[in-house]
Amino acid sequence: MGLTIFAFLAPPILLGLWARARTRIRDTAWSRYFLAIGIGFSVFTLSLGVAYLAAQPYTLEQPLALFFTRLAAASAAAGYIVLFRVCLSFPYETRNRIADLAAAAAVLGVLALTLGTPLYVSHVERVNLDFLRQEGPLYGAISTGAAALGFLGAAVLLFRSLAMRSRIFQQQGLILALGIAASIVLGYVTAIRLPQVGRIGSLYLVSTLSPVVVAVGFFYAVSTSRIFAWKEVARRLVSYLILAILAGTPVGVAVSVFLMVKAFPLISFLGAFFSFILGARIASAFVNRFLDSIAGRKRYREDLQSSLAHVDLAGGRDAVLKEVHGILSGPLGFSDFTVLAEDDEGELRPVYSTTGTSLSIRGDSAALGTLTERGITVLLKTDVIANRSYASVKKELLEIYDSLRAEAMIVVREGRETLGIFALGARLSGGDYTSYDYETFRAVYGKLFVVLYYVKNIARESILSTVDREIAFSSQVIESIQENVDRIAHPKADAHFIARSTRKLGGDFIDFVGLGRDRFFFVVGDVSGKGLNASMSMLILKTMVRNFLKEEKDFLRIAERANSFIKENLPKGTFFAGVFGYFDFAKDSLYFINCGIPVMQMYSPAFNTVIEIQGDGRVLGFVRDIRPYLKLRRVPLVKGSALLISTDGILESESLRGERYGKERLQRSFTANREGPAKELAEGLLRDLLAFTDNRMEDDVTIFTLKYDTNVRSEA
Amino acid sequence: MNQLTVEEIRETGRTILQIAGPVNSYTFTDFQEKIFKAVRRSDIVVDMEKVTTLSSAGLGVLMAAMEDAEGAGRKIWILRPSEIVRLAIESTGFSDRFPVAQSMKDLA
Repeated sequence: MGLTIFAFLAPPILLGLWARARTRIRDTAWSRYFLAIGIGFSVFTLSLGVAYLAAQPYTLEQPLALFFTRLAAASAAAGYIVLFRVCLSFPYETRNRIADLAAAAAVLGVLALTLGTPLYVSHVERVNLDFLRQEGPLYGAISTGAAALGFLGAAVLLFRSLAMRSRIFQQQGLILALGIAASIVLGYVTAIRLPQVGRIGSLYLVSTLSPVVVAVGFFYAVSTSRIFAWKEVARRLVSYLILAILAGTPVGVAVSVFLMVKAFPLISFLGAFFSFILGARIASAFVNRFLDSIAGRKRYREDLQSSLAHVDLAGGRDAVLKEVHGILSGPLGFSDFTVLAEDDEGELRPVYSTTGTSLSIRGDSAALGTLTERGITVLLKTDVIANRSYASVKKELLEIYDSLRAEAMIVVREGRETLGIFALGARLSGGDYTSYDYETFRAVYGKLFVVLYYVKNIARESILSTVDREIAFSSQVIESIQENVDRIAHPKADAHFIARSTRKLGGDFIDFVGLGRDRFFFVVGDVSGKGLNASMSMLILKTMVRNFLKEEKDFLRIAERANSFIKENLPKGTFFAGVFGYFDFAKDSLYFINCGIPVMQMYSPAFNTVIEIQGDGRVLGFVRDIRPYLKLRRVPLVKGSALLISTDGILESESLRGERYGKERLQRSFTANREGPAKELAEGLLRDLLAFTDNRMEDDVTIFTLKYDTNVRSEA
Repeated sequence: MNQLTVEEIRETGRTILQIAGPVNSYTFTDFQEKIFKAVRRSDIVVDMEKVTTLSSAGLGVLMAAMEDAEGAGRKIWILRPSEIVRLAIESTGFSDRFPVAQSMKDLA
């Protein structure tokens, strides 16, 4: 079979590329052209493969091989005709019926001439590995004409691209033009020049790779909507090529020689090829990391992450946003900057702007709704212009960009609600935002979320006049958010919780989310720190945990991502001590991950005693990789059992004499109240604590209690 | 003792911070300022023998100082932690990561 393999590999690659491109460009004209070209070129490669296999040595009459040779030529020529048509209008979707009709007529003409007459090829045969053709009088005209047409299309597209105003369209046009040119050179050399001039027919089938080259170019042309960081691409490409030669070649040659002894030539070739690629990639990854480390080639992303992590949220709204403006504009060098935040009416309005814009956007507008549907948080203007999937909201989005004088937007969202937008203006250098910038914005999204959450919920100008008023207002907001939980309501469970903060603003954290009729997720814990900052961290973490819960199926991953979020986004030194768990009442089970919860006790009716169930646990936010320390535990819930979970505040509360409340007192109170409903269990414990401390509370106290499968119920 | 005192002793190449009293959400700011400054300047020894309370806010400061020290290539030791401090450190589950020393001799 040998090199014929290329002929049969090409069609799935072509159609695969079309399918992937379609997910980005949807059902547009370019999708249809891509499909037409893909089908044309697939027929070309398959026909060529069949013709080669069907051709017999020293036989004059070979109708099958002859037919497929002609079909291959006709379909390749048809593909280039369609490509030429594409080059006349790409990347704009303007209709041109005359061009379409002319292209269709040209395709039919080529098919008729090539398939129906001996004018292209009159006879084929194979001599050893060489595929020989008896050329007809129009062979040169058809083959060279198709190649020339492709080149002409590439040239037209190149000149058109250079005249385009949009740099993203320029880039798309250049990529496609380069792809077409490279494809024609490869096809023309292997299929026409080498057999004609060099009398080398054995490489004829390599020409079936040429459509793949143009398809890759087309795919990138229609898929990319961000400006490449060309310097970075060139640097990586050059380093890869050098390493491919230095490291890939010896590996490839060694494998090839080894396989030549043991296996068929084709296996040897493929083995050498993949070894070459693998060797080059490994060497490239190693050397790039090494060069980055010794040359200190740290790009601005890490600095930006670090600076945003240290924004002082206690500075007030304007000071915070001014600091964020300074941090972002330093490395990115943009002119205009606007921050929109959602107000009580659900409108996004400017809270900071260098442009003086008064733009107001409805949070439920079609444009923002589309971004929410697709989970888009970072959107460059080039995406809107060049990505056809935004066609339905393109006008509305571009109006927003123009009103804000923006080139990039970071859309901050809590669930499906848009909290606000960071709008970054044009760069002073005149350059566009690149793919690297895009990835950087995604990397700092969590930190910008924290800032916007603060701006939206806490730092309102009207309440910044006095600290007392701020705290009063903030505590109202925080209390209302804390109360916004799914209460555990199940025939088998009687649950209750108490969350008391010493100064209205605390880091204690409790949340419940219903996961169905019988399953309830919960988090109980304490975010370290004090006052407003701890409360902010707690609320932000609560929101993020809910998001993780929606996205993750692996329960451990929720705790793992919470750990990363705390480590990377919350103020340094912040950690979470608590528990992540869920009740599965259908299975009479409690599953949990101990992340440093100090109190988890269960009353067992079988043994008539209270036992500690939390086991070992590690707080979140201290180490970067928490996964090795996370353990999912299961505790059976038996009829009549009672559960108590509490944060550290209750244990560390002290009496007037300086004694700690401690676990023993807590356990005594729990045992004494075990027969009552969950509400009485929690309130009895709090009463006991307050009596012990003479009604003084120095730390936040959160208590969660649950009675299982009993007739005793808490009053509503 | 309801007041936190933070005494700073500078030696060649290291700073000793002697902490006494409760490190809680009311008092940790002073502790935070001094430990963050010291860790930028030199290796530090945090003497916590007389600490009567260490809340999560205080523990967070200690953890942040350890991270800063690591980033700056400095060393940090927790000297003679009181029972309260030892329990607080144990509650994190990462007590093996806290560089604890029982005497100045151990630091040599």
